[in-house]
Order: sequence, then structure tokens, then C-alpha cells
Amino acid sequence: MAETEMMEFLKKEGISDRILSEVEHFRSYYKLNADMERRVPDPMYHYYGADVWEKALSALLVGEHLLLSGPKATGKNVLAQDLAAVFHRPEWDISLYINTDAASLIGTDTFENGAVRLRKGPILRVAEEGGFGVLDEINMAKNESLAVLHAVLDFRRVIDVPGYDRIYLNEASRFIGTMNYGYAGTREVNEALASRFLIIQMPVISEENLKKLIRDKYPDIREEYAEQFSKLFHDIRRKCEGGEISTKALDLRGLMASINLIRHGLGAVDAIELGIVNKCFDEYERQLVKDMITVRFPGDLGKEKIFSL
Amino acid sequence: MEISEFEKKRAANLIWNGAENYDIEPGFRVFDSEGHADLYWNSIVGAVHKHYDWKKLEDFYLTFHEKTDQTAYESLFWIAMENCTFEREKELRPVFPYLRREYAKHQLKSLEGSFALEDSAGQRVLAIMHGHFRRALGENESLPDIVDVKLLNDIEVNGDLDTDQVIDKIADTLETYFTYRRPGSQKPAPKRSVSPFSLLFTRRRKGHTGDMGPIRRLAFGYGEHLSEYGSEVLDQSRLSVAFARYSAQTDEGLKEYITNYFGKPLYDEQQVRRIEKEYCFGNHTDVHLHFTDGAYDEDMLKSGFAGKMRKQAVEQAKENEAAFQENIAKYRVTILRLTNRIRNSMLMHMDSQVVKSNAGRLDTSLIWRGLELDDDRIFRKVLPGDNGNLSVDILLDASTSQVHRQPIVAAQGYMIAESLTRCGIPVRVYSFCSMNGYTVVNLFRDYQEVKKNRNIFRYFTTGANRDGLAIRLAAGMIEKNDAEHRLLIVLSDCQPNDVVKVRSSSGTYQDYAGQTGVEDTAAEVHRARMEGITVLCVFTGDDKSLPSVQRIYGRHFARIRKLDLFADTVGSMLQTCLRNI
Repeated sequence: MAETEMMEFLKKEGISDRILSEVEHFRSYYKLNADMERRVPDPMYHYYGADVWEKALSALLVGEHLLLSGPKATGKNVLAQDLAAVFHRPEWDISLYINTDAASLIGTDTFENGAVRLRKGPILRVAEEGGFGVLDEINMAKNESLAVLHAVLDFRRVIDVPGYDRIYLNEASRFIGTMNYGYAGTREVNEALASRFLIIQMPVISEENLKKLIRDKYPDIREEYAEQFSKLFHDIRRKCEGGEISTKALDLRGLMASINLIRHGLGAVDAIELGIVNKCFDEYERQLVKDMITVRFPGDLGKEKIFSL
Repeated sequence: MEISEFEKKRAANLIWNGAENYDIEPGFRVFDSEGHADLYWNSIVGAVHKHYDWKKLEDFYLTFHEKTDQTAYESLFWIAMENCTFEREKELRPVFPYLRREYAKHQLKSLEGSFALEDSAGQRVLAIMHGHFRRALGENESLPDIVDVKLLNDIEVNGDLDTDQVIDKIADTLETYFTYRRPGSQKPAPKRSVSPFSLLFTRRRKGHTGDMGPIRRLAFGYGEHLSEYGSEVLDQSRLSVAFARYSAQTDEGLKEYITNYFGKPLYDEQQVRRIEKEYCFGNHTDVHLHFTDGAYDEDMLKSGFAGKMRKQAVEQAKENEAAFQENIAKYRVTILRLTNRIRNSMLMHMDSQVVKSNAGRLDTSLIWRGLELDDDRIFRKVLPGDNGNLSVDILLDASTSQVHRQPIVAAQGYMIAESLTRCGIPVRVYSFCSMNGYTVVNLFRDYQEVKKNRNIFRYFTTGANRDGLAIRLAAGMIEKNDAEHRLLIVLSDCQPNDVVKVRSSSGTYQDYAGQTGVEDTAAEVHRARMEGITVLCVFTGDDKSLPSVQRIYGRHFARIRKLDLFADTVGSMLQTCLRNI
């Protein structure tokens, strides 16, 4: 079972027993409809960072909604998914974009079997099923279209759908927003919305935790190379923070994919080029990123040295 | 040998990467004989910053300055630092042994036969370095001279030593094998360097190295030293002359001078005084303003120096327009392309569309289709667009630093204005410069003046630039328009500089230049953004000003290497902007 495995993981990460027992209590108290089982996520990755875990779990336990704010590759969505798994709740992924409107969130009229019906939107489903709604890139949407969420998210916990019904939020329902402040195409989140969330500023994954993550995903990788990959990622991050390059090359998914490629036999430098270097389409940036790889990995490095197979 | 800005940048990045710190000033960078940034050496230089106290090392390094064998000492210093840093770093970066081997192989091959070019100390250092890298390859150092072998042993400093010990070790070695003496050294210097001729000798040598500029040939490549020349030298001498002239004149005379120089004022005296009161406070107290659209009469052209300059500006306008006409075919295509690009983004993002769909608001007149034809698309859905209008302000830096680019800036500015006009977006174009305590705003075209795009050819450059005040003024002017989305695009090299000093609260005065200017401009940009104005910068400066542009505009700038790209860059900015609203 995914959630027992998650609990094991949390114990190992050093989350306090008090919090974990409350999570257990939450799970046994709020039963799940059988047909919702398939919506409970089975996470691919674990979020590393005991500090953030404790904050997030505590906030959700007391019934608050969460807003995860942080730069690229800080694991916002990984954490959101992990949380739904730990609490064993069905999850709805709601990707917000510029043209998101109230209808696409709550629901619209549709026509079925000769009659007009309400087609329920994800927010409504979360409310009914006691699910976890992940509002992805919440600051991509216009503030006006998010206004419908205000009553949902605050003490009223209610959705009033004109011509349909007044729906109260299931007690187990929680919303988790994610946002990348200052990312291209984002806008300011207005105060009314922000005040309805508890906000966690997601820290950048530490070198130590990234090493753990890599070893967790690829257990046969040699310790010293897990470290080199983790250090490479932090080299890139520092360069982004220094304003030398954009965040295109700061790509954790790309790094993990590169390691996987190496494991399947591609040379290390080539694999990293595919996964990271070529993410920069600007020749200038690409050279700077390539230099970072060259001063981290020998040109002839391959699978044999990196993995102990 | 030409070293491109990009390779310099690359070297700096390698150093920052090696040091794991982007705050340091990469004062010393290494390039190979083709002018490429050296991967291995620059990483070593960076790692030196990480493992040792660079401040101390730098003080020591500067004692080589103007010594007889300066480059030999410098080379040996770096060989020593390479050795000890490598020892420390190889554990942390397993790639280092590989890089070092590759470097040594390459270096030994390429350096064969280059001995003849060197003076005696140079030859010796080169031989030492050969020995050093042979050892790195696991070979015998094969140095014929037993003293050189000893020197090599001594210069290969151990990684266990701390900064002070490393310095002592290198200094001792140099004192043993060369004429080098540390400042305050107790050892008697050899005769040669205390002889009365040595001073002459050193001077001559200095002239010799001076010819090579900051980039010097060292044993292992070319090293560029920045620190001894200072990281930022602000030349205010040109300005202070102007300032002296300024203070010698009466206020009235000065106003006339400025008017003759730039053109008739747009506002009457009372209005200007009110505007000055409104805008010239804080850091810009004491600054006067002059708004003009460049209008002049014949009398003005005859009024001494200012008239001459006015005439020159008029000539420049003709030149700008002629340059444009010469390439008109090319520019027309650009205008068309730009127009289409902007129009497309507008269509895509600004129009709401009502479409038939199977969900949405029920359209009662279509219900029969659902019942009779089994067509469930009986709803109307609005694909929302944004009908908020947009205004664009383009603010051009017209200080002397842009002097060689006048025709290009004018042509590019014209193309932007023309494209926006064709799309029906209101655009205002103006330039700013500062002279004799005045900040002059030259208005080429206001929002509604759709027929006046050609005025942009009047763009001419002179004087200094007080960016902070210019942005404050621009923001103030923009606030008066009621467009929903307001965009200010600044063309600038981000080196604010002006004669009127900044008065601090303690009563002291600071130059409006360097960090003070940058901080002030950054504050003004921030204030404009708080007012809901989108401020973007098209940056034309060099690498040196990159920290300034980042400080001022954050991430909201686009760097253009060639001004030819100005119009296209603004096009992309507009596209992004339209997409976001």
C-alpha cells in the first residue's frame, strides 16, 4: 500500500510521532468511497525535507489550505501529491491558466439524454468527495476568476452554484495551491486569495536531500556519483541565482532522466547534454552550462563507473 | 589576440562556478592562445577563492607588480596555487585529475618550440611548468638543471597548508631562486635590484608590460588582470568641466542656453516650475527640467555654441533620415513583420470569442437541435479575451554614450512606433539626457500623434543621463493616461551619471554615478511598478554593467548585442506582455 510506505518514509525522515498519529487518526476517521480509491495518488517521488513536511501536515490537520510558493524544481507538485497520498484522499489536479474561468472550476451546463444537466467541475468534485484539490500555478489565472474560490476556501466552506444547489465542503476536503512567484506569465496573487491559505515558502532542495532522492530512485548508483550529480544541480542553481543564465537548465526532471539514460548505457556527458544542456536553446547559455558539466564529469565517464551493477 | 566579451564572461562563469560563489569579483581570468576561456585554469582560480583567503593572496600577488620578473613571479604563483588547490579539490571533484591530465597533454604538445620567444626568466618558468605538468602526467619532470628540480619541488606547494603558510612558502621560494623581496623582508636584496640603475630598469620594464595592457602572457596561457586597474573607474572629469561652466552662468542665461541647445520649451515657465516641484525632490533636488519637441527658429541657430549644437542636431536628424532611406526596403520588411507579429498576439489574446459548445450557457434558440438532431452543441461558451487597452511608452537614453548609434537607434525607434501605430496601439516616444544641471526630455511623438513618427529621426545624443529622474518623469506622465495596461520600455546602458549631486540627509553630497545612480534608478523603477506600470529595459551596455541592469530591472530586461535587434526585441517584449494581460 502506497500510504503505509509513505508513513514508513515519514518515520524515517524523522517526522514527530504526534503528527503521524494524528494523520493516522484522520485517515481512519474519514472513510473513503471505494470508487474513489483509484484517485488516490501513488507517488513516484518522495519529498525530502522534514521541516516542510511537519509544517504541511500540521496545517492540513487543523483544516487549513496550503499554498506552496517557490522557484522551479523545489518539489511543489511532488509534495502536493505526497500529501494526498499520506492522507489517503482522492486528488484532483486543477491546472490554472490565463483563461481559467469560474465555469471551468465549478461546473457548466451540459446536455445529456435530452436534458440539460450540470457538468461538475473539479472544485465541486473535491467538495463532494472530500478530496484534495491541487491548484497548480495558481498565479497564472486571473484574480477575478479565482474569486469564486473565496467562499470555498474561507470559514464558509461552501459553493453556491446558481440554479443548482448550495454545496458544503466535505470536512476532509483540502486545497493545495502551488505557485512560482516571478515566473514568466505569472501575476500577483491578490491579498484576498492569499489570506485564505497558509503559505509555505518552499526551500530549494538541499545537496544532502537531492543525494538521497537520487539514491532513492536509483539505488545502485555509487555514493560519490550521486554526490557529483547533486553538486552539479547546485552549481546550476547558483548560476541561475547569480543571474548568469535563465532557469531553463535548472531541471530536476531532466537530471533524473539523464541518470536513467546513463544507467541504460549512454555516456554521462552525452546523457546530461540531452537532459540538461540542450534545455537551453540560447547558444550563449548552452556554452556556460556545458562548461559546468565539463568541470564536473570526465568526457569518458560511463555506466560502469557510476553504477555498481 | 582578440578576446571576445563572451569568452571573458565564460571565464568569469567558470571561476564563479569553481568558487561556488557569485559575489566574488573574478579579477584574474585565464585564456588559451586562441582567446578561449581556459576550462581547467579558470576552475582552479575559482577553487582558489573557495579554499583560500583571496584577500591575503591578492595583497601578496600585488607585491609582484612592477617587479623585474613580474610575469615570471605571477606564473610561478599560479603554478603553486594550482598545485595546492588541485590537491584539495580533487577529492571534491573527481573530474579534476582527468581535466588536469587532458590539459597537461595538450599544453606539453602545443608549447614545444616556444622557448625561443622568452627572456631568460620566462624560459626558466616555462621549463618549470613543463616539469610540473610532466609530473602531473606521472612522468619524470626531465629538467636538466638540478636547481630547477629543486625550484619545482618547492613551488609545488602542498595542499595541507593554510593561506598564510602558502604565501610564506611561495615568498620563500621566490626569494631563494629570484631577486624577489617581500615588502619588509629582512633578507638583503641582491645587488642588482638596489643599484641606482635598477629603478630605471624597472621603469622601462614596466612600460614594457604596460604595453600589454591588462592581458599578459603567462607561462600557462594569457591572464587578464582586472583588479589592479580597479573594477569600476568613473570618469567624471568631462562632467566637472561642464559643471564649472554651469555654475559660472546665471540661471536665466543657462535656461536660454539649454533652450537654444535643445529647442523651444513645451510648457510655460509656471507649468515647468510646478512640474519641477512635483518631480525634483529627494535625490533629484536642485535639478531643473526642460521639455521640448525640438522646435527652433533661425535666431536660435545663430546663438553661439548652443546654436551650433542645435544646428548639429538638425543635421543629425537629416543624417538619421538619410541612413533610413538608404535601407528603406529592409526596414519596410521589418515594419511589416513587426506589425504582423504584434497584430497576431493582439488577435490571439485580446479578443473574446463566443463559440457553440456542448457546455456553457444554454442558448434557448438552439434547444430544438438537441432534441431533434441529437446535436448537443446547444450552448454558448465565451472564450474570454482581454479588452483592456494598452499604451506603450518608449524612453530612449540620449546621452553621449549612445553617440555612435544615433542613426540606428532612430531607425529602430521609428520602426517600433510605426508598427504600433499600424496596430492602433498608442505609443509615445521620448529621449532623455542631462546637461548643466538640466534634465532634458525630448518628446518625439505623443500617443495621439499618429502622423509624427518621423520625428523620431530627430534623436540626437549629448551630455549625461540621470536615469532615475527620467523614469520618475516617464512614470508620472504615464499615470495620466487611463489605459488599463501601461508599458514603459527603456533603452539604456544602465550607467546613470550626472553632475548634480545627491544631497544626503546628513548634508553631504554624493556623485550621481556608480552605485548611487543605480540604486536611485532601481528605486524609481520599483515605484513605477508599484503604480501598475510594466517597466522593461532593452539593455545595450557591456558585461560590466550587467549587475547594474539586474539591480535596476530585476529579470525584466532583454540584452541586445546589436542595436539592429532593438525593434525585434521590443516586438517580443510586446508579445510576451500581450500574452500576460
